[in-house]
Amino acid sequence: MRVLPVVTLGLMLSLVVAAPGNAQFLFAQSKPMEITTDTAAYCGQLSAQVARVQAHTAKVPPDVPRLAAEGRRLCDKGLIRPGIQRLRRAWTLLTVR
Amino acid sequence: MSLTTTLQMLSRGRFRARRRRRTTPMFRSAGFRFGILYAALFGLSALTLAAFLWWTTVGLLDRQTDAAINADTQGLAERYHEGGLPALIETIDQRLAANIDDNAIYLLVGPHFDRIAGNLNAWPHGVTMDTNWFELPVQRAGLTGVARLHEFNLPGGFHLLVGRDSHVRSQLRRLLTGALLWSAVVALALGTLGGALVRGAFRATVADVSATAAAIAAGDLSRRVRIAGTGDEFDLLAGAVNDMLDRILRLMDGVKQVSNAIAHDLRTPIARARTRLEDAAIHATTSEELHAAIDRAQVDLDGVVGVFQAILRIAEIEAGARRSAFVTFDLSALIADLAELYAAPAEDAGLRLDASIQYDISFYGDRDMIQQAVANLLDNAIKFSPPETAVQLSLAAGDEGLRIEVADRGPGIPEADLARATERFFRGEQARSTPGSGLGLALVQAVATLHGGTLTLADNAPGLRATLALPANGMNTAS
Repeated sequence: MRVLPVVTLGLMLSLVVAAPGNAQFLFAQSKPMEITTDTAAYCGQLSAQVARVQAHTAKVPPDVPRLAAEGRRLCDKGLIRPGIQRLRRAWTLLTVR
Repeated sequence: MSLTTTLQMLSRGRFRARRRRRTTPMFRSAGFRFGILYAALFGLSALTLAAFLWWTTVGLLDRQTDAAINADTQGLAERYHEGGLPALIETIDQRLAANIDDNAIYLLVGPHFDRIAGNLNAWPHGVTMDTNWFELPVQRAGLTGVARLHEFNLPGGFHLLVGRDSHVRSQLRRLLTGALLWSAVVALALGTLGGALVRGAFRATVADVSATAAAIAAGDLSRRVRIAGTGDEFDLLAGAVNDMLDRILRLMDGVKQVSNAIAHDLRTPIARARTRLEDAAIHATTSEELHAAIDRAQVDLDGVVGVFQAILRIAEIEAGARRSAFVTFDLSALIADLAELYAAPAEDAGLRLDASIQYDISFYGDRDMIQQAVANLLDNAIKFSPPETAVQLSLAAGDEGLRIEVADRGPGIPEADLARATERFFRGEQARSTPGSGLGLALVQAVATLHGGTLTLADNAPGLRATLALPANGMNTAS
Protein backbone atom coordinates (compact mmCIF):
# COMPACT_ATOMS: atom_id res chain seq x y z
CA MET A 1 0.00 0.00 0.00
CA ARG A 2 2.97 2.33 0.55
CA VAL A 3 3.81 2.10 -3.14
CA LEU A 4 0.56 3.77 -4.20
CA PRO A 5 1.41 7.36 -3.15
CA VAL A 6 4.77 7.08 -4.90
CA VAL A 7 3.17 5.79 -8.11
CA THR A 8 0.51 8.52 -7.98
CA LEU A 9 3.15 11.20 -7.51
CA GLY A 10 5.13 9.75 -10.40
CA LEU A 11 2.11 9.85 -12.67
CA MET A 12 1.35 13.42 -11.65
CA LEU A 13 4.91 14.37 -12.51
CA SER A 14 4.62 12.51 -15.79
CA LEU A 15 1.61 14.69 -16.63
CA VAL A 16 3.69 17.78 -16.03
CA VAL A 17 6.62 16.38 -17.98
CA ALA A 18 4.33 15.28 -20.81
CA ALA A 19 3.51 18.94 -21.42
CA PRO A 20 6.38 20.33 -23.53
CA GLY A 21 8.69 22.14 -21.21
CA ASN A 22 10.73 24.16 -23.69
CA ALA A 23 8.42 27.21 -23.50
CA GLN A 24 8.00 29.44 -20.50
CA PHE A 25 4.78 31.24 -19.69
CA LEU A 26 5.22 35.00 -19.80
CA PHE A 27 3.92 36.01 -16.37
CA ALA A 28 5.18 39.58 -16.87
CA GLN A 29 2.50 40.01 -19.52
CA SER A 30 -0.53 39.78 -17.28
CA LYS A 31 -2.80 41.72 -19.64
CA PRO A 32 -3.60 39.82 -22.86
CA MET A 33 -1.96 41.20 -25.98
CA GLU A 34 -4.38 42.28 -28.68
CA ILE A 35 -4.43 40.69 -32.11
CA THR A 36 -5.04 43.35 -34.73
CA THR A 37 -6.14 41.14 -37.63
CA ASP A 38 -9.68 40.78 -36.34
CA THR A 39 -10.64 44.42 -36.55
CA ALA A 40 -12.74 46.38 -39.01
CA ALA A 41 -9.62 48.35 -39.92
CA TYR A 42 -7.81 45.19 -40.97
CA CYS A 43 -10.90 44.07 -42.89
CA GLY A 44 -10.73 47.31 -44.88
CA GLN A 45 -6.98 46.93 -45.36
CA LEU A 46 -7.36 43.32 -46.57
CA SER A 47 -10.25 44.28 -48.82
CA ALA A 48 -8.10 46.96 -50.46
CA GLN A 49 -5.22 44.49 -50.77
CA VAL A 50 -7.48 41.96 -52.53
CA ALA A 51 -8.90 44.64 -54.82
CA ARG A 52 -5.41 45.85 -55.76
CA VAL A 53 -4.19 42.37 -56.70
CA GLN A 54 -7.48 41.63 -58.42
CA ALA A 55 -7.10 44.72 -60.55
CA HIS A 56 -3.66 43.65 -61.68
CA THR A 57 -4.65 40.07 -62.39
CA ALA A 58 -5.57 39.20 -65.95
CA LYS A 59 -7.59 36.12 -65.30
CA VAL A 60 -9.35 36.33 -61.97
CA PRO A 61 -10.81 33.05 -60.69
CA PRO A 62 -14.61 33.19 -60.80
CA ASP A 63 -15.04 32.77 -57.02
CA VAL A 64 -12.75 35.66 -56.10
CA PRO A 65 -15.14 38.56 -56.84
CA ARG A 66 -17.97 36.81 -55.05
CA LEU A 67 -15.85 35.98 -51.97
CA ALA A 68 -14.40 39.51 -51.88
CA ALA A 69 -17.86 41.07 -52.14
CA GLU A 70 -19.23 38.78 -49.44
CA GLY A 71 -16.28 39.60 -47.20
CA ARG A 72 -16.82 43.36 -47.57
CA ARG A 73 -20.54 43.02 -46.97
CA LEU A 74 -20.06 40.93 -43.81
CA CYS A 75 -17.48 43.36 -42.43
CA ASP A 76 -19.86 46.26 -43.12
CA LYS A 77 -22.54 44.43 -41.15
CA GLY A 78 -20.12 44.05 -38.21
CA LEU A 79 -19.39 40.37 -38.80
CA ILE A 80 -15.67 41.01 -38.92
CA ARG A 81 -14.18 37.52 -38.57
CA PRO A 82 -16.43 35.83 -41.20
CA GLY A 83 -15.79 38.77 -43.50
CA ILE A 84 -12.03 38.54 -43.05
CA GLN A 85 -12.18 34.80 -43.59
CA ARG A 86 -13.88 35.21 -47.01
CA LEU A 87 -11.44 37.90 -48.02
CA ARG A 88 -8.57 35.60 -47.03
CA ARG A 89 -10.03 32.81 -49.17
CA ALA A 90 -10.31 35.25 -52.08
CA TRP A 91 -6.71 36.32 -51.51
CA THR A 92 -5.56 32.70 -51.41
CA LEU A 93 -7.32 31.94 -54.71
CA LEU A 94 -5.72 34.99 -56.31
CA THR A 95 -2.18 34.42 -55.05
CA VAL A 96 -2.02 30.64 -55.33
CA ARG A 97 -2.47 30.96 -59.12
CA MET B 1 -4.23 -29.12 25.95
CA SER B 2 -7.27 -31.10 24.76
CA LEU B 3 -9.07 -30.42 21.51
CA THR B 4 -12.22 -29.34 23.33
CA THR B 5 -10.22 -26.79 25.32
CA THR B 6 -8.63 -25.51 22.11
CA LEU B 7 -12.02 -25.19 20.42
CA GLN B 8 -13.44 -23.41 23.45
CA MET B 9 -10.54 -20.95 23.33
CA LEU B 10 -11.10 -20.45 19.61
CA SER B 11 -14.78 -19.89 20.26
CA ARG B 12 -14.04 -17.34 23.00
CA GLY B 13 -11.64 -15.61 20.59
CA ARG B 14 -14.36 -15.60 17.95
CA PHE B 15 -16.87 -14.01 20.32
CA ARG B 16 -14.30 -11.42 21.30
CA ALA B 17 -13.69 -10.79 17.59
CA ARG B 18 -17.46 -10.44 17.09
CA ARG B 19 -17.64 -7.90 19.91
CA ARG B 20 -14.74 -6.02 18.36
CA ARG B 21 -16.40 -6.20 14.92
CA ARG B 22 -19.50 -4.54 16.27
CA THR B 23 -17.47 -1.60 17.50
CA THR B 24 -14.69 -1.65 14.87
CA PRO B 25 -14.61 1.30 12.46
CA MET B 26 -15.28 0.47 8.83
CA PHE B 27 -11.74 1.32 7.68
CA ARG B 28 -10.39 -1.55 9.81
CA SER B 29 -12.38 -4.05 7.80
CA ALA B 30 -10.26 -6.16 5.42
CA GLY B 31 -13.04 -5.98 2.83
CA PHE B 32 -13.10 -2.21 3.03
CA ARG B 33 -9.32 -2.09 2.60
CA PHE B 34 -9.63 -4.28 -0.50
CA GLY B 35 -12.29 -1.89 -1.80
CA ILE B 36 -10.01 1.09 -1.25
CA LEU B 37 -7.19 -0.73 -3.00
CA TYR B 38 -9.55 -1.48 -5.89
CA ALA B 39 -10.56 2.21 -6.10
CA ALA B 40 -6.93 3.32 -5.94
CA LEU B 41 -5.97 0.95 -8.75
CA PHE B 42 -8.93 2.13 -10.79
CA GLY B 43 -7.94 5.77 -10.19
CA LEU B 44 -4.34 5.05 -11.09
CA SER B 45 -5.45 3.41 -14.33
CA ALA B 46 -7.54 6.47 -15.22
CA LEU B 47 -4.63 8.75 -14.35
CA THR B 48 -2.24 6.70 -16.46
CA LEU B 49 -4.64 6.80 -19.39
CA ALA B 50 -5.04 10.57 -19.04
CA ALA B 51 -1.27 11.03 -18.91
CA PHE B 52 -0.87 8.92 -22.02
CA LEU B 53 -3.64 10.82 -23.83
CA TRP B 54 -2.05 14.12 -22.81
CA TRP B 55 1.32 13.05 -24.06
CA THR B 56 -0.01 11.74 -27.38
CA THR B 57 -2.42 14.62 -28.16
CA VAL B 58 -1.22 17.83 -26.57
CA GLY B 59 2.41 16.91 -26.98
CA LEU B 60 1.81 16.12 -30.65
CA LEU B 61 -0.02 19.42 -31.18
CA ASP B 62 2.82 21.33 -29.54
CA ARG B 63 5.40 19.57 -31.65
CA GLN B 64 3.39 20.33 -34.80
CA THR B 65 3.02 23.99 -33.77
CA ASP B 66 6.76 24.26 -33.15
CA ALA B 67 7.47 22.72 -36.55
CA ALA B 68 5.09 25.17 -38.28
CA ILE B 69 6.65 28.15 -36.50
CA ASN B 70 10.17 27.00 -37.40
CA ALA B 71 9.20 26.52 -41.06
CA ASP B 72 7.49 29.92 -41.11
CA THR B 73 10.53 31.57 -39.59
CA GLN B 74 12.84 29.92 -42.07
CA GLY B 75 10.79 31.30 -44.98
CA LEU B 76 10.74 34.79 -43.49
CA ALA B 77 14.48 34.72 -42.91
CA GLU B 78 15.07 33.78 -46.56
CA ARG B 79 12.84 36.63 -47.75
CA TYR B 80 14.74 39.04 -45.48
CA HIS B 81 18.05 37.96 -46.91
CA GLU B 82 16.73 38.26 -50.49
CA GLY B 83 14.83 41.52 -50.30
CA GLY B 84 15.67 43.11 -46.99
CA LEU B 85 13.16 44.76 -44.67
CA PRO B 86 10.53 45.71 -47.36
CA ALA B 87 10.36 42.12 -48.60
CA LEU B 88 9.97 40.88 -45.03
CA ILE B 89 7.13 43.33 -44.35
CA GLU B 90 5.39 42.35 -47.58
CA THR B 91 5.73 38.64 -46.80
CA ILE B 92 4.28 39.12 -43.32
CA ASP B 93 1.30 41.00 -44.79
CA GLN B 94 0.80 38.27 -47.40
CA ARG B 95 0.96 35.50 -44.84
CA LEU B 96 -1.54 37.24 -42.60
CA ALA B 97 -3.80 37.73 -45.63
CA ALA B 98 -3.56 34.05 -46.48
CA ASN B 99 -4.05 32.84 -42.89
CA ILE B 100 -7.46 31.19 -43.35
CA ASP B 101 -7.10 29.32 -40.01
CA ASP B 102 -6.81 32.72 -38.33
CA ASN B 103 -4.20 31.51 -35.87
CA ALA B 104 -0.94 33.09 -37.02
CA ILE B 105 0.82 35.80 -35.05
CA TYR B 106 3.63 38.01 -36.40
CA LEU B 107 5.28 41.11 -35.04
CA LEU B 108 8.24 42.94 -36.54
CA VAL B 109 9.72 45.77 -34.46
CA GLY B 110 12.63 48.15 -34.94
CA PRO B 111 15.68 48.63 -32.70
CA HIS B 112 13.57 50.71 -30.30
CA PHE B 113 10.73 48.15 -30.32
CA ASP B 114 8.51 50.39 -32.43
CA ARG B 115 5.96 48.30 -34.36
CA ILE B 116 6.67 47.93 -38.11
CA ALA B 117 4.47 45.02 -39.28
CA GLY B 118 2.38 42.14 -37.94
CA ASN B 119 -0.85 41.58 -36.07
CA LEU B 120 0.27 42.00 -32.45
CA ASN B 121 -0.45 45.48 -31.09
CA ALA B 122 2.87 45.90 -29.22
CA TRP B 123 6.04 44.18 -28.11
CA PRO B 124 5.12 42.16 -24.99
CA HIS B 125 6.60 43.07 -21.64
CA GLY B 126 9.19 40.71 -20.32
CA VAL B 127 10.43 39.46 -23.68
CA THR B 128 14.18 39.89 -23.70
CA MET B 129 16.78 38.98 -26.26
CA ASP B 130 17.30 35.53 -24.75
CA THR B 131 13.64 34.59 -24.21
CA ASN B 132 13.49 32.44 -27.37
CA TRP B 133 10.31 30.30 -26.88
CA PHE B 134 7.48 31.54 -24.68
CA GLU B 135 3.72 31.48 -24.19
CA LEU B 136 1.63 34.60 -24.06
CA PRO B 137 -1.98 35.47 -23.23
CA VAL B 138 -3.63 36.99 -26.30
CA GLN B 139 -7.05 38.40 -27.08
CA ARG B 140 -8.55 37.68 -30.47
CA ALA B 141 -12.05 39.03 -31.30
CA GLY B 142 -12.75 39.53 -27.61
CA LEU B 143 -11.75 35.98 -26.66
CA THR B 144 -8.70 35.41 -24.49
CA GLY B 145 -6.43 32.49 -25.26
CA VAL B 146 -2.81 31.44 -25.10
CA ALA B 147 -0.35 31.76 -27.96
CA ARG B 148 2.99 30.06 -28.43
CA LEU B 149 5.69 32.34 -29.82
CA HIS B 150 9.32 32.33 -30.88
CA GLU B 151 11.51 35.39 -30.81
CA PHE B 152 14.27 36.12 -33.38
CA ASN B 153 16.80 38.88 -33.61
CA LEU B 154 17.46 40.20 -37.10
CA PRO B 155 20.50 42.09 -38.35
CA GLY B 156 20.21 45.87 -37.88
CA GLY B 157 18.63 45.56 -34.43
CA PHE B 158 15.25 44.39 -35.71
CA HIS B 159 13.25 41.83 -33.74
CA LEU B 160 10.69 39.38 -35.01
CA LEU B 161 8.02 37.36 -33.19
CA VAL B 162 6.44 34.38 -34.93
CA GLY B 163 3.72 32.35 -33.23
CA ARG B 164 0.49 30.45 -33.32
CA ASP B 165 -2.64 30.42 -31.18
CA SER B 166 -2.82 27.33 -29.00
CA HIS B 167 -6.52 27.40 -28.21
CA VAL B 168 -6.90 23.77 -29.37
CA ARG B 169 -4.35 22.80 -26.75
CA SER B 170 -6.29 24.73 -24.13
CA GLN B 171 -9.52 23.01 -25.16
CA LEU B 172 -7.85 19.63 -24.92
CA ARG B 173 -6.45 20.51 -21.51
CA ARG B 174 -9.94 21.40 -20.32
CA LEU B 175 -11.35 18.21 -21.87
CA LEU B 176 -8.75 15.97 -20.26
CA THR B 177 -9.04 17.70 -16.90
CA GLY B 178 -12.79 17.19 -17.01
CA ALA B 179 -12.37 13.56 -18.02
CA LEU B 180 -9.88 13.05 -15.20
CA LEU B 181 -12.21 14.56 -12.64
CA TRP B 182 -15.10 12.44 -13.87
CA SER B 183 -12.85 9.38 -13.79
CA ALA B 184 -12.01 10.18 -10.18
CA VAL B 185 -15.71 10.45 -9.34
CA VAL B 186 -16.51 7.19 -11.13
CA ALA B 187 -13.51 5.49 -9.48
CA LEU B 188 -14.70 6.68 -6.09
CA ALA B 189 -18.24 5.45 -6.72
CA LEU B 190 -17.17 2.09 -8.17
CA GLY B 191 -14.54 1.69 -5.48
CA THR B 192 -17.11 2.25 -2.76
CA LEU B 193 -19.50 -0.17 -4.41
CA GLY B 194 -16.74 -2.74 -5.01
CA GLY B 195 -15.54 -2.31 -1.43
CA ALA B 196 -19.04 -2.92 -0.10
CA LEU B 197 -19.43 -6.02 -2.29
CA VAL B 198 -16.02 -7.43 -1.35
CA ARG B 199 -16.69 -6.67 2.32
CA GLY B 200 -20.03 -8.46 2.11
CA ALA B 201 -18.46 -11.50 0.41
CA PHE B 202 -15.70 -11.62 3.02
CA ARG B 203 -18.17 -11.37 5.87
CA ALA B 204 -20.42 -14.09 4.42
CA THR B 205 -17.49 -16.51 4.05
CA VAL B 206 -15.93 -15.75 7.41
CA ALA B 207 -19.36 -15.99 9.05
CA ASP B 208 -19.77 -19.53 7.71
CA VAL B 209 -16.33 -20.58 8.98
CA SER B 210 -17.06 -18.88 12.29
CA ALA B 211 -20.46 -20.56 12.65
CA THR B 212 -18.87 -23.95 11.92
CA ALA B 213 -16.17 -23.36 14.56
CA ALA B 214 -18.84 -22.32 17.06
CA ALA B 215 -20.92 -25.43 16.33
CA ILE B 216 -17.88 -27.68 16.77
CA ALA B 217 -16.92 -25.90 19.99
CA ALA B 218 -20.47 -26.53 21.19
CA GLY B 219 -20.01 -30.26 20.57
CA ASP B 220 -21.40 -30.78 17.08
CA LEU B 221 -18.34 -32.39 15.51
CA SER B 222 -20.24 -33.28 12.35
CA ARG B 223 -20.49 -29.64 11.15
CA ARG B 224 -18.36 -28.63 8.14
CA VAL B 225 -17.71 -25.39 6.27
CA ARG B 226 -19.94 -25.01 3.22
CA ILE B 227 -18.14 -25.41 -0.13
CA ALA B 228 -19.77 -23.31 -2.85
CA GLY B 229 -18.31 -25.45 -5.62
CA THR B 230 -16.82 -22.55 -7.55
CA GLY B 231 -13.29 -23.77 -6.93
CA ASP B 232 -12.15 -20.33 -5.77
CA GLU B 233 -9.80 -19.49 -2.90
CA PHE B 234 -12.66 -19.56 -0.40
CA ASP B 235 -13.55 -23.07 -1.53
CA LEU B 236 -9.92 -24.11 -1.13
CA LEU B 237 -9.89 -22.63 2.36
CA ALA B 238 -13.17 -24.35 3.22
CA GLY B 239 -11.80 -27.65 1.88
CA ALA B 240 -8.61 -27.27 3.92
CA VAL B 241 -10.59 -26.46 7.08
CA ASN B 242 -12.87 -29.46 6.48
CA ASP B 243 -9.88 -31.75 5.91
CA MET B 244 -8.37 -30.44 9.12
CA LEU B 245 -11.60 -31.13 10.99
CA ASP B 246 -11.78 -34.65 9.53
CA ARG B 247 -8.21 -35.26 10.62
CA ILE B 248 -8.92 -33.95 14.11
CA LEU B 249 -11.96 -36.18 14.34
CA ARG B 250 -9.94 -39.20 13.26
CA LEU B 251 -7.25 -38.37 15.82
CA MET B 252 -9.88 -37.99 18.51
CA ASP B 253 -11.36 -41.34 17.55
CA GLY B 254 -7.86 -42.83 17.65
CA VAL B 255 -7.18 -41.37 21.10
CA LYS B 256 -10.52 -42.68 22.31
CA GLN B 257 -9.85 -46.09 20.80
CA VAL B 258 -6.36 -46.31 22.31
CA SER B 259 -7.69 -45.23 25.70
CA ASN B 260 -10.37 -47.92 25.54
CA ALA B 261 -7.84 -50.50 24.37
CA ILE B 262 -5.43 -49.66 27.20
CA ALA B 263 -8.21 -49.87 29.75
CA HIS B 264 -9.42 -53.16 28.29
CA ASP B 265 -6.01 -54.83 27.81
CA LEU B 266 -4.59 -53.82 31.16
CA ARG B 267 -7.65 -54.49 33.23
CA THR B 268 -7.38 -58.27 32.81
CA PRO B 269 -3.75 -58.76 33.97
CA ILE B 270 -4.13 -56.24 36.78
CA ALA B 271 -7.36 -57.86 37.97
CA ARG B 272 -5.71 -61.25 37.70
CA ALA B 273 -2.72 -60.15 39.77
CA ARG B 274 -5.04 -58.63 42.35
CA THR B 275 -7.08 -61.83 42.56
CA ARG B 276 -3.93 -63.95 42.95
CA LEU B 277 -2.62 -61.75 45.74
CA GLU B 278 -5.99 -61.62 47.44
CA ASP B 279 -6.38 -65.38 47.17
CA ALA B 280 -2.89 -65.91 48.52
CA ALA B 281 -3.51 -63.50 51.40
CA ILE B 282 -6.62 -65.45 52.38
CA HIS B 283 -5.72 -69.04 51.58
CA ALA B 284 -1.92 -69.35 51.59
CA THR B 285 -0.79 -71.42 54.50
CA THR B 286 2.91 -71.54 53.79
CA SER B 287 5.44 -68.96 52.77
CA GLU B 288 6.17 -71.01 49.61
CA GLU B 289 2.55 -70.68 48.46
CA LEU B 290 2.66 -66.96 49.19
CA HIS B 291 5.89 -66.50 47.20
CA ALA B 292 4.47 -68.50 44.29
CA ALA B 293 1.38 -66.24 44.18
CA ILE B 294 3.55 -63.12 44.34
CA ASP B 295 5.73 -64.45 41.49
CA ARG B 296 2.68 -65.11 39.31
CA ALA B 297 1.29 -61.65 40.06
CA GLN B 298 4.71 -60.19 39.22
CA VAL B 299 4.61 -61.90 35.84
CA ASP B 300 1.18 -60.36 35.17
CA LEU B 301 2.38 -56.95 36.23
CA ASP B 302 5.53 -57.28 34.10
CA GLY B 303 3.21 -57.76 31.13
CA VAL B 304 1.47 -54.50 32.01
CA VAL B 305 4.81 -52.71 32.30
CA GLY B 306 5.81 -54.20 28.96
CA VAL B 307 2.71 -52.76 27.29
CA PHE B 308 3.44 -49.32 28.72
CA GLN B 309 7.07 -49.55 27.61
CA ALA B 310 5.93 -50.45 24.08
CA ILE B 311 3.53 -47.48 24.00
CA LEU B 312 6.23 -45.14 25.24
CA ARG B 313 8.70 -46.52 22.72
CA ILE B 314 6.28 -45.96 19.83
CA ALA B 315 5.63 -42.41 21.07
CA GLU B 316 9.38 -41.85 21.31
CA ILE B 317 9.88 -43.12 17.75
CA GLU B 318 7.01 -41.03 16.39
CA ALA B 319 8.43 -37.93 18.08
CA GLY B 320 11.68 -38.48 16.18
CA ALA B 321 13.72 -38.56 19.38
CA ARG B 322 15.57 -41.66 18.15
CA ARG B 323 17.15 -39.86 15.20
CA SER B 324 20.14 -38.97 17.36
CA ALA B 325 20.92 -42.71 17.45
CA PHE B 326 21.27 -42.95 13.67
CA VAL B 327 24.53 -44.55 12.51
CA THR B 328 25.68 -46.39 9.41
CA PHE B 329 25.62 -50.10 10.13
CA ASP B 330 25.81 -53.42 8.27
CA LEU B 331 22.16 -54.25 7.66
CA SER B 332 22.98 -57.56 5.96
CA ALA B 333 24.81 -58.77 9.05
CA LEU B 334 21.93 -57.67 11.27
CA ILE B 335 19.34 -59.57 9.22
CA ALA B 336 21.62 -62.63 9.09
CA ASP B 337 21.97 -62.53 12.89
CA LEU B 338 18.19 -62.32 13.24
CA ALA B 339 17.75 -65.25 10.86
CA GLU B 340 20.16 -67.28 12.96
CA LEU B 341 18.52 -66.18 16.22
CA TYR B 342 14.98 -67.04 15.10
CA ALA B 343 15.92 -70.33 13.47
CA ALA B 344 15.72 -72.10 16.86
CA PRO B 345 12.27 -70.87 17.95
CA ALA B 346 11.01 -71.55 14.43
CA GLU B 347 12.30 -75.09 14.64
CA ASP B 348 10.67 -75.47 18.06
CA ALA B 349 7.37 -74.47 16.47
CA GLY B 350 7.87 -77.02 13.72
CA LEU B 351 8.68 -74.39 11.13
CA ARG B 352 11.50 -73.74 8.71
CA LEU B 353 13.05 -70.29 8.43
CA ASP B 354 14.32 -69.63 4.88
CA ALA B 355 16.60 -66.62 4.65
CA SER B 356 17.54 -64.90 1.40
CA ILE B 357 19.92 -62.08 2.23
CA GLN B 358 21.82 -59.83 -0.12
CA TYR B 359 25.12 -59.21 1.57
CA ASP B 360 27.25 -56.07 2.05
CA ILE B 361 24.33 -53.68 2.43
CA SER B 362 25.01 -50.79 4.78
CA PHE B 363 22.23 -48.59 6.04
CA TYR B 364 22.07 -45.26 7.89
CA GLY B 365 19.50 -45.50 10.68
CA ASP B 366 18.76 -46.73 14.17
CA ARG B 367 20.15 -50.27 14.37
CA ASP B 368 18.19 -51.25 17.49
CA MET B 369 14.92 -50.03 16.05
CA ILE B 370 15.39 -51.89 12.77
CA GLN B 371 16.30 -54.99 14.73
CA GLN B 372 13.18 -54.59 16.90
CA ALA B 373 10.96 -54.06 13.84
CA VAL B 374 12.22 -57.17 11.98
CA ALA B 375 12.06 -59.17 15.22
CA ASN B 376 8.41 -58.15 15.64
CA LEU B 377 7.62 -59.30 12.10
CA LEU B 378 9.39 -62.63 12.68
CA ASP B 379 7.62 -63.07 16.05
CA ASN B 380 4.27 -62.60 14.37
CA ALA B 381 5.15 -64.94 11.50
CA ILE B 382 6.29 -67.71 13.83
CA LYS B 383 3.32 -67.18 16.14
CA PHE B 384 0.69 -67.49 13.40
CA SER B 385 2.27 -70.04 11.02
CA PRO B 386 0.95 -73.59 11.10
CA PRO B 387 3.52 -76.37 11.62
CA GLU B 388 5.39 -77.89 8.71
CA THR B 389 5.44 -74.59 6.80
CA ALA B 390 8.22 -72.11 6.04
CA VAL B 391 8.73 -68.53 7.12
CA GLN B 392 10.66 -66.55 4.54
CA LEU B 393 12.97 -63.71 5.47
CA SER B 394 14.63 -61.72 2.70
CA LEU B 395 16.71 -58.59 2.24
CA ALA B 396 17.26 -57.09 -1.21
CA ALA B 397 18.48 -53.77 -2.53
CA GLY B 398 17.05 -52.16 -5.65
CA ASP B 399 16.93 -48.83 -7.43
CA GLU B 400 14.11 -47.59 -5.23
CA GLY B 401 15.73 -48.59 -1.96
CA LEU B 402 15.84 -51.78 0.01
CA ARG B 403 13.17 -54.23 1.00
CA ILE B 404 13.02 -56.45 4.05
CA GLU B 405 10.28 -59.03 3.63
CA VAL B 406 8.84 -61.51 6.10
CA ALA B 407 6.32 -63.94 4.61
CA ASP B 408 4.45 -66.73 6.31
CA ARG B 409 1.77 -69.31 5.50
CA GLY B 410 -0.49 -68.49 8.42
CA PRO B 411 -4.10 -67.29 8.36
CA GLY B 412 -3.02 -63.84 7.19
CA ILE B 413 -5.10 -60.70 7.76
CA PRO B 414 -8.49 -60.24 6.12
CA GLU B 415 -8.60 -57.58 3.38
CA ALA B 416 -10.91 -55.40 5.45
CA ASP B 417 -8.49 -55.34 8.41
CA LEU B 418 -5.28 -54.71 6.46
CA ALA B 419 -5.54 -50.93 6.64
CA ARG B 420 -6.10 -50.95 10.40
CA ALA B 421 -3.60 -53.68 11.24
CA THR B 422 -0.86 -51.18 12.08
CA GLU B 423 -3.02 -49.18 14.49
CA ARG B 424 -2.16 -49.41 18.15
CA PHE B 425 -3.95 -52.22 20.04
CA PHE B 426 -5.63 -53.48 16.89
CA ARG B 427 -6.12 -57.24 17.03
CA GLY B 428 -7.86 -59.18 14.32
CA GLU B 429 -10.46 -61.84 15.05
CA GLN B 430 -7.96 -64.67 14.53
CA ALA B 431 -5.37 -63.03 16.81
CA ARG B 432 -7.62 -62.65 19.83
CA SER B 433 -6.89 -66.16 21.03
CA THR B 434 -3.11 -65.67 20.89
CA PRO B 435 -1.06 -63.76 23.44
CA GLY B 436 -0.03 -60.23 22.48
CA SER B 437 -0.84 -56.62 22.97
CA GLY B 438 -1.55 -55.46 19.42
CA LEU B 439 1.41 -53.09 19.47
CA GLY B 440 3.93 -55.06 17.39
CA LEU B 441 2.93 -53.86 13.91
CA ALA B 442 2.30 -50.34 15.25
CA LEU B 443 5.92 -50.25 16.34
CA VAL B 444 7.12 -51.55 12.94
CA GLN B 445 5.04 -48.86 11.25
CA ALA B 446 6.57 -46.19 13.52
CA VAL B 447 10.10 -47.44 12.76
CA ALA B 448 9.39 -47.38 9.00
CA THR B 449 8.07 -43.81 9.23
CA LEU B 450 11.05 -42.75 11.35
CA HIS B 451 13.40 -43.92 8.58
CA GLY B 452 11.30 -42.40 5.78
CA GLY B 453 10.09 -45.81 4.66
CA THR B 454 6.83 -47.73 4.54
CA LEU B 455 5.33 -50.91 5.91
CA THR B 456 3.14 -52.80 3.47
CA LEU B 457 1.00 -55.77 4.45
CA ALA B 458 -0.25 -58.03 1.66
CA ASP B 459 -1.88 -61.38 1.17
CA ASN B 460 0.72 -64.14 0.66
CA ALA B 461 -1.95 -66.58 -0.58
CA PRO B 462 -2.09 -68.00 1.98
CA GLY B 463 -0.47 -66.09 4.79
CA LEU B 464 0.86 -62.62 5.24
CA ARG B 465 3.66 -60.84 3.44
CA ALA B 466 5.03 -57.89 5.43
CA THR B 467 7.37 -55.62 3.47
CA LEU B 468 9.47 -53.02 5.19
CA ALA B 469 10.64 -50.67 2.41
CA LEU B 470 13.41 -48.29 3.37
CA PRO B 471 14.68 -45.38 1.26
CA ALA B 472 17.79 -45.54 -0.89
CA ASN B 473 19.35 -42.45 0.67
CA GLY B 474 20.01 -44.38 3.88
CA MET B 475 21.50 -47.29 1.98
CA ASN B 476 25.04 -48.05 0.92
CA THR B 477 25.72 -51.25 -1.02
CA ALA B 478 29.30 -52.31 -1.19
CA SER B 479 28.73 -55.00 -3.77
